[in-house]
Amino acid sequence: MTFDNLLIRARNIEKSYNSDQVLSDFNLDVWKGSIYGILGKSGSGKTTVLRLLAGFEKPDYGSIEMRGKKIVDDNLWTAPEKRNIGMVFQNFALFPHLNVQKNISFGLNKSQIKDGRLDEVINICNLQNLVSKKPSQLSGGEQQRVAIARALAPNPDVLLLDEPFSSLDAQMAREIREEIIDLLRSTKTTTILVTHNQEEALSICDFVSILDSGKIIQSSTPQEIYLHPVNKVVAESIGDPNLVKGFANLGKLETPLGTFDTHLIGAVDVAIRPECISLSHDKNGKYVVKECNFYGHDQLVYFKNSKGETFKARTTPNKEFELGDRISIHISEINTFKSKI
Amino acid sequence: MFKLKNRNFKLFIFNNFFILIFTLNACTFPNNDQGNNLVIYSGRSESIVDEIIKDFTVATGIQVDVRYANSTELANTIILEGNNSPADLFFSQDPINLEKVAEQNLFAQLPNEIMQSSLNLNYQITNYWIPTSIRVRTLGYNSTSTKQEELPIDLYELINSKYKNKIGLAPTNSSFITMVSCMIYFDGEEKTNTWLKNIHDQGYIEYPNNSTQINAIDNDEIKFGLVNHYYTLRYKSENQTSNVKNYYFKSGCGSLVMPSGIGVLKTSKNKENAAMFIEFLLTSDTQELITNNLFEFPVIDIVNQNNQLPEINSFQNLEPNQWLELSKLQTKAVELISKAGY
Amino acid sequence: MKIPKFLSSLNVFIVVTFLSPIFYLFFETVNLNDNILQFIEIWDFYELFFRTFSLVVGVVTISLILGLSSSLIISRFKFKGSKIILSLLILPLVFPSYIGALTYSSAFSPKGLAINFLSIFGIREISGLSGYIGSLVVLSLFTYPYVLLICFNTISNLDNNIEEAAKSLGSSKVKLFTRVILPRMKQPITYSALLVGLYVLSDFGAVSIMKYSTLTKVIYTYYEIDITGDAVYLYSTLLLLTSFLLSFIQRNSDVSSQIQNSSRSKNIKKMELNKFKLFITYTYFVLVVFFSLILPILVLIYWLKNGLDSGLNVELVYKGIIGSIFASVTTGVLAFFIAIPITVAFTQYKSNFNKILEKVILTLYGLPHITIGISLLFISLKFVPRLYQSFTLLIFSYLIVFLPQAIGAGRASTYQISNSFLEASSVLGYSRLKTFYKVTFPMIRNGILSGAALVFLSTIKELPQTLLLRPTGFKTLSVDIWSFSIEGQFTEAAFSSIILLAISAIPTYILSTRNLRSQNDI
Repeated sequence: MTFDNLLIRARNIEKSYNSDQVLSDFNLDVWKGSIYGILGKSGSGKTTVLRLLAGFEKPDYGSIEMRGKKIVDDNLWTAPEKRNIGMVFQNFALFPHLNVQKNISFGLNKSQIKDGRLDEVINICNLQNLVSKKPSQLSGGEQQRVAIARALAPNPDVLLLDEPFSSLDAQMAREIREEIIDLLRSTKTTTILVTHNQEEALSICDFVSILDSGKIIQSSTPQEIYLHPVNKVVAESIGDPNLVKGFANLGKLETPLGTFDTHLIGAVDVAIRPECISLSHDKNGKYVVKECNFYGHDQLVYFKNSKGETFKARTTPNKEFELGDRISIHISEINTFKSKI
Repeated sequence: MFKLKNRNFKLFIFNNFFILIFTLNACTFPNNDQGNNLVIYSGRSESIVDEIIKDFTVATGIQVDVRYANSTELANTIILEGNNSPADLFFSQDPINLEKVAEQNLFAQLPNEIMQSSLNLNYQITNYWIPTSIRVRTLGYNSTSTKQEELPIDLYELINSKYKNKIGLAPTNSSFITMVSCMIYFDGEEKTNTWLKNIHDQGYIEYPNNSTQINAIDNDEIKFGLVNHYYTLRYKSENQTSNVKNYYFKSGCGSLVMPSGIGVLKTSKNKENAAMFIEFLLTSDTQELITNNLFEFPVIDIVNQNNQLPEINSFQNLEPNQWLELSKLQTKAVELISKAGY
Repeated sequence: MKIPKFLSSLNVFIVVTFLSPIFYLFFETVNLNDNILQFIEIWDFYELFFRTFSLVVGVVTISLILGLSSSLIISRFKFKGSKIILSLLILPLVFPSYIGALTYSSAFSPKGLAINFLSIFGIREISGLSGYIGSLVVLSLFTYPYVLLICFNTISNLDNNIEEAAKSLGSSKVKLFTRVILPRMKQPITYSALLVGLYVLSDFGAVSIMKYSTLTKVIYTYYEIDITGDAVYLYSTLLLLTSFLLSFIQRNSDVSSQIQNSSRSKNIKKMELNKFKLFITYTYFVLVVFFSLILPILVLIYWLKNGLDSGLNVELVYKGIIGSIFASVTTGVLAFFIAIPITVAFTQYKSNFNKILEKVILTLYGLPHITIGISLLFISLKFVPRLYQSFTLLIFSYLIVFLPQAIGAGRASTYQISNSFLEASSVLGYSRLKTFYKVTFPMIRNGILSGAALVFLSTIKELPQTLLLRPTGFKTLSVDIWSFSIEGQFTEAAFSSIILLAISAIPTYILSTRNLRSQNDI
C-alpha cells in the first residue's frame, strides 16, 4: 500500500458542540478500495466524523486531505458540493417528488447520462424494474439500494454510509448487507461505514476503528480487534465477553474463573469470550448452571460460582446442561488489560 | 453572491408558468388615481342613485365612482380625511351631516352659476350645499281602517294605550334619528326622553327600515308608522289598490322637512365636473325622475308636479344654522334612543 | 447550515411590516392618557364586555355540545349513512357567518318564512330572531363543524384497546365516557373551544346583522358616528389584547402536539344501536343538519325565487363578483410568494431566529379583522395618504390576516423536509441556490399552493376590513351581502350569497377538512 492509495487522511481533528467535546485528537487513514468501518456507541461521535468528511460541519481544529490534496485546513474549507464524495443517509433522504430514475440521475450531468452511466448504475444495483416508481412506493430495502445507486452514480472518490442498515429489521439487514457489499467490492468503491452494530462492522469491513469518547482507540482488521482487543472498552464493544477483575502477582493471575499465567503485575481487567469457555459435567465442579438460552445456531449457558457471580459460555445447540447441574470449565484464551484505577 | 445559472432559471419559470401568469395579473392593480373619475360619497342608497348616475354618464361622458354608506359615517369619514379626502362630492339625504361637514370648512364655495340658478329653488340654500330634493317625515296609516278623526295632532298623542303594539318605527334609521334630534332641539331633552320611553314601554313594533313599515300598515299589522313620505307613495304606486296614506302633522317634528343635498369638497380636483353633476341633479329631467319615480318633492318648479305632494311650506322647516344645532344633538339622540331600550 | 443574511432580513422586513398596524394601535392607545378612565366609568364598558363574553361562552358551549356529541356518536356507533351524515354535519362551515345571520334573521322575522311553517302549529306571531339569541344560534350552528372535525380526528385515532379493556372490566357506558374517553379528549376539546372562542370574538358580520353589540360591532359603530374619538382606539386595542390572550393560550397549551394525524387506520369496532336509540340518533342528526345546512339554503332559494319573480336587478350584483374575484386572486397569488421565503427559512435553516419568527407569525393568527382595518385606515390617512382607500392597502390588509394560513397550510409539507434532503443535494454537487430550485421549492410548492388557495377563499369571504378600506367604487360580494341585509333587500342579498357560496363552498370544504385533519390550522 503506497501513499498513492491513501485516499483520505484526517489529522488532529477536534470538534465540539456547545462545550461538548465530541471529537478530540481524531485521526483517520482510509485506503483506496477498502471498506472501512467506524464502530461506536451512540454519542461516540461517529456521525460527526462522517459529517466532517462530507463537509456539513467544520472542525474546530485539524486537517483533512483527499487524494493528496488538502480540503480542510486552518484557512481552507471546501464546500460539500465541491468534494467528490457520496453519502447514503440513515433515513435515505430520497427526494419524494422525484421517481427512482430521477433520484439516481440527480447528481449526473447530461453528458454523463448520455454516456450510459445512469443505465450502468441502475443495472449494477438491480433497479431496472423500479425506475418509474416514487420512493413512497418502495420497500426499505429497495430504498436502500436506490440511495446507494444515487450516491454511486457520479463516481465519487469515497462513499460514506451512515448507519445504513439500522432502519431495516435483522433478517432483511443481513440479506441486504451481502448484496451491498458485493456491489461495493465489485465496483471497488472506497467506503466508510459508520455503525453501532458489531455484526455489521465485523462482517463487512476490511478495517475497523473503535471510536469511544471522541477518540479512536483501536484500528485494525476485524479479526485482530476481536481476538486482541487493546483495552477493556474495545473488548466490551466487540463480542459479549465475560469481564472479570483479577490480581496478578509473581506471574500468576487470580480471577473468579481460574488462575492464568501472565506477565502483568497488579490489578488486571480480564475479558474472556464465551466461546473460549467449554463446560463439562463435574460432580465436584465449582460452578452451577443457572440458565440455558437457546439461539438456534448456538447456546449460551449461564453459570455461577460459589460467590453467586454469573458468567456465560457458548456451546453447541445440543441440550447438554440443565438448571442446577454442577460443572467445571476449561478456558482456552483470555485477553488481559492493565487496570486503570 | 448568486450566479443565476441560466438553465435552472428557465426550468424554474417553465415549471411554474401558471403561477407566474397569475402574478402578472396581480401586478396590474387598478389604481385609485383615476384622475378623471368623479368620486361621490353618497349617503343615499344605490338603488336610488344608480340610475341618476348612469344618466349623467351617458349625458356627459364623465365616469363616476360612488361610495355608498351611512350618511353619518360618510360625514365623519370626510372630516377624518381632511385635506386628503379623495371625494369630490358629498351627497346626503340628511342636512345634519351636510352641516357637520360645512362647519369643518370642508366644502368648497358653490360656483356662481349654481348660485344663480338656485335662486329659483323652492328651498333656501347655503353657500356650501344645495338641496336636490325634499323629504318630509310623516305618519303612515291605512285609510280603510283608520278614520280621519282618529289621527293624532302631534307625536305626543301617540302615547296612548290603545296604540299598544300598533305603532311601528325604525330606531336605527337615520331619518328617525334626525327627527329625534329635532325633538330635543325644540321640545327639550326631558320631554323627548319621556316620549321615547313611553313609546317603548307601551309596546311598538320594530322594523329595519321604512319600506317594511308601509308593508305592515297595508296588512294592518300596525296602525301607524313613523316614516318618510315617499315610501308610502312608492308603495302605493306599486300596489294600486292599497289604501296607505300619508298624514302630515300640523306642527312639530313629526312632519320635519328634510332636504337631501349635495356639496362640493374643497379637496376636489374635479370641481368643474362636480359642478356639472350638481347642475345635472337640478335639471328638470332629473327632478322629474326624482319626483315621479322616487316621489320626493322637487326643488324646482316643474310642470309635472305630482299632485300627491302637498304644499311643503306649511311644515316644519329649519334654517341652516338650526340644522347645525341638530347635528350637535345627533349623538345625544342616539344615546337617548339606546338608553330607552331600542 | 446558517441562514443567509438576505433571507433573514427579508423575513424580518415582512414580519415588521405586517405587525405595524398592531404596533400603531398600541402606540395610539398608550397616548390616550386621561381619557381612558373616563371610558371605564361609563356604563357601556362593563356591559359591553359582559355581552361579548357571554356570547363567547354561549357559542363555545353549544358548539362543543353539538360537535363533541356528534363526533362521539359517529365514531363509536354503527349505523347506516354515518359517513354521509358526517360530511353533511361538516358542510355548514362553508357558510360565512353573515350569510347564516341573514338567512336566520329573515326567516324568523315577523313576516319571514318561519311563520308560514309555524302557523301550522298555531303560532301566529314571532317577534323576530335577533340580539343575543339570534347571534348565539347563528354562530353556534356554523362553528360546531370545527369542533366536530377536531374532536373526530382525535377520537378516531384513540387506541380502542383501552376502551375494550375498560369494558371487559365492567365499565358502564357512562363510566366509559367520563372516565376513559373524556380525559383523553381534553386536548382537542380545549383546542377547539379556544378556536371557536376566537372566531366569535372576531366575528363582525353576524353580530351586526343580528344587532347585538359586541366589541366588534361597537368598534364599527364608533367608526360610523365618532371616528375621531378615542373610543375606537381603546376598544380596538382591547379587542386585540383579548384575542391575543385567547390565541396565546391556545398555541401554548400544548394541544397541537397531541393532535397528530395517524396514518395507520385503526380498526375500531363500533357498537350497535337498538331501534329506539337508532331513532333518537337519526332524529338528532336530522335536526342538526336541517338547522345548520338545509334551512339556510332553503331561505336563500326562497328569496332568490321571490326576487326572480318580481324582477331582480342583476347589474347591482355583477360588479361585486368581479371585485371579489379580482381581490381574492391577487391576494392568493401574493400570499404564495410571500410565504416562500418564510417557509424556506423554516425548513432549510433551523435556528433560534426561526423560533421567534414562528411565534411572531402565529400572533397574527385569528386577529380580529376590524382592528387591523381600523388601524390601517388611520395609518394610511396620517402617514401615507397615497395608500388611503387604495386597492394596494386593501390587499395588504388581507395579507396581514391571512398570511398565517398560507404558511400554516404549507407547513404540513415542510415538516417532511429535513436537513438530510438538503445535505444529500449538496453532496451530489448542487449549490444552495440550485438546491432551492430543484429540491426545496418543488417540495414545498404544493403545500404553499394549498395555503394560497385557502387565502383566496378567506379573502373572498372577508367582510370588516373590506368595508373599512375598500376604494370608492370597488365592490365585493361580501360587502354587498352585508349592506343588502342591513337594508332589508333580502333578494339581492340572497343572490349574492348564492354566488359567493357557488364559488367558495366546495374548495372551502375540501381544504378545511384536509387541513384540519393534518395541521389544525384553519
